[in-house]
Amino acid sequence: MSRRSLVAALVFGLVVAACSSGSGAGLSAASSAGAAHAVSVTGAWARPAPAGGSTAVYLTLANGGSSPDALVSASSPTGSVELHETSTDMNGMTGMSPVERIELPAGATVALDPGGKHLMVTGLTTALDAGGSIDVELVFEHAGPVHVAAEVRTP
Amino acid sequence: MTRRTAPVAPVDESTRILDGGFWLVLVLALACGALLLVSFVSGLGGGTGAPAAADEDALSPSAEASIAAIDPAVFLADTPEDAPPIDLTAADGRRFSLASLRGSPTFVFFGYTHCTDVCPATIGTVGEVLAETQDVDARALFVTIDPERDTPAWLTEYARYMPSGFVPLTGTPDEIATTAKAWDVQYAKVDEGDPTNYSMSHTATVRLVDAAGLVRATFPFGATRDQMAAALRDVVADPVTDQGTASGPTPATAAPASSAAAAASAAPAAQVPLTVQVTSTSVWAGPPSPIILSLSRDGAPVIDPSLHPTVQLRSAAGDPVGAPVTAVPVQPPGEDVVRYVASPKIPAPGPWRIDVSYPLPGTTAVGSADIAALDPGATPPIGGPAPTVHTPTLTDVAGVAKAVTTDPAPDLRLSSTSTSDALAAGRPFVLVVDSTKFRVSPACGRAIVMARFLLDRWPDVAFIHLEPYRYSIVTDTPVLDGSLEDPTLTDVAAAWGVGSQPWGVRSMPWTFVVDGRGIVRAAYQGVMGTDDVDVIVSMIQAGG
Repeated sequence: MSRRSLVAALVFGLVVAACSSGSGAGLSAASSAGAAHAVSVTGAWARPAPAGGSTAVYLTLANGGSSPDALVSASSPTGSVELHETSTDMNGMTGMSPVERIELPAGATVALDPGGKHLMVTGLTTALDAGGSIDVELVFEHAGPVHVAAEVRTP
Repeated sequence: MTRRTAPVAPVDESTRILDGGFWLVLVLALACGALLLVSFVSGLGGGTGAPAAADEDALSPSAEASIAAIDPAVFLADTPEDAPPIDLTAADGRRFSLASLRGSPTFVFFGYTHCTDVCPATIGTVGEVLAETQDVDARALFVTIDPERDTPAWLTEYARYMPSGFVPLTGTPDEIATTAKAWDVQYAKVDEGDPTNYSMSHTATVRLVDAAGLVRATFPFGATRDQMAAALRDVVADPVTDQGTASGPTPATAAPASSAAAAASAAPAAQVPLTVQVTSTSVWAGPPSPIILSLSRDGAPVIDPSLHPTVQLRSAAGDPVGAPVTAVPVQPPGEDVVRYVASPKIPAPGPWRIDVSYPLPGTTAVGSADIAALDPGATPPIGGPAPTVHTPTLTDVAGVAKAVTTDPAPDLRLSSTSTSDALAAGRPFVLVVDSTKFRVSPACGRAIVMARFLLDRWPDVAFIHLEPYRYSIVTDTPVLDGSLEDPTLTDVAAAWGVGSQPWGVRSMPWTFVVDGRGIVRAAYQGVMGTDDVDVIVSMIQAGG
């Protein structure tokens, strides 16, 4: 098998596999911002970084309610926060760009993982050392603000 | 898997197309896969209840997952070629070349430290590979494509957060451009309107250079630890037999000149190699001034708080200079680490070497590190009295913060005490000469951020911020007297010698640490690392 077709075969196989496992993602709601809007945020973490530097906060959002919601902004007392997304172009160039909102349809789970969507934190006013945490306030369009303390650690 | 392809073999056209278009093929395949996923999920008719979210998020995680499934052999080069040279500046200011790592397989990655996602993820993955393959003694180079912000001083700070075995490198914009081009790395600033808070778009592949200096593998972003480790072991187990084209720089037999770790391997067999890292961001020629050392042996940090290693200064050629000095152990409160502070007298600015040793049962631990001593100009000599000038405080300006700081959101504690107050009270102080608004260098403003970070750790020490340049408040806005190209120092800043030659008035920031007796104990040009101030203040507070 040529390298090219091998890669294509593997990629296709994986995408389908990823899809079929998507519905089975279990979720335990950690915090909720009101009975009507059961938005939960779990598994928040951030990489260690020096004061003055930057990091990213990763987490999993889940909408257990019956109406759609969206993450529209985030902030932290420790730095400036933007909703960001990493993309890779045809030449293998990676880049990040801000996103205005992260949609969270009813019943959906959206993971913000390395290499994809994340909360970019710049201008850290304190160092983030492993074992510590960084406070982040997420604002959802309907559920309103949700406060999380992201654990500082390596993945 | 056998890949003893003769490196001299001509690259036939089909191979070239495959190599050049490989990622194109992969990305296209991923894009198709994502489309397939979209239609697949949509077809579920809400089975997961989340079609839109799944669509949006489909590409990134599945792309990574897909790459993870690829046989690592795919990443190996069919026709290994000589690694292009890398000859840049390390965090301590000394030159560092890839050729000096000849003999150790080395991962090479281009990125930038303000990158929040791709770079830390990649550095983390490579770090895990290094940790789990310690038997093969692999290294990793991180080459910045953002030399404006990634200065040596900043890299020193950042290096504390990198996995061990990583060497961060920077250079002039021209050097970086040349190096990146040779490595086929593209990069561009993504201007988001703020000249200091931009992101970069860049090629995020990781290359693996083997012990002979040949590029043996290229990993796309998203390659896993297991894939990289497998490829590394493959490369180590299967060297290219024909060394005929390995015509790069000669192996570094004069090891100490390159890296601390390489230097350690030069120790005679009867001795135990010691890895010496200089964590001070500034080392000064002139009177004895502190050099902060981090020591490790067999990959484990040396954290003996009673150890007093011996430090011998040597010329860059290796000749001993002056008598050996004894380093002092310092353990900052609440920290697990122990640093060792040596204060040799360095006769002149330029490259020097230090040998560090201490006795062990039946043997001696020995290591060395290169240092680059800076010219202190007319700054107050370390070990001598601090200038008795009065830095302005909020009280002096009737509480108008803008008159003493250009920080738009200042920490007023940095403007509440004058250096003259601290001197009169016998209180140690850290003076940070820096400007948030009048940024003559990309480092400007960062020393203030660092001071804010350290402030809470040391309530008995005064942290004092001094604006270096004269300015006026015009309708509520600080306006510089003169221009950013040729600003005018305040008399107080001039008294600290920060505008003196060879540095000049645009050499901000500067930081000085003064003990309770009014003696200057340390000075830093550029952003100081947390180690710098933390360790020296710990030493002072412990009565050292």
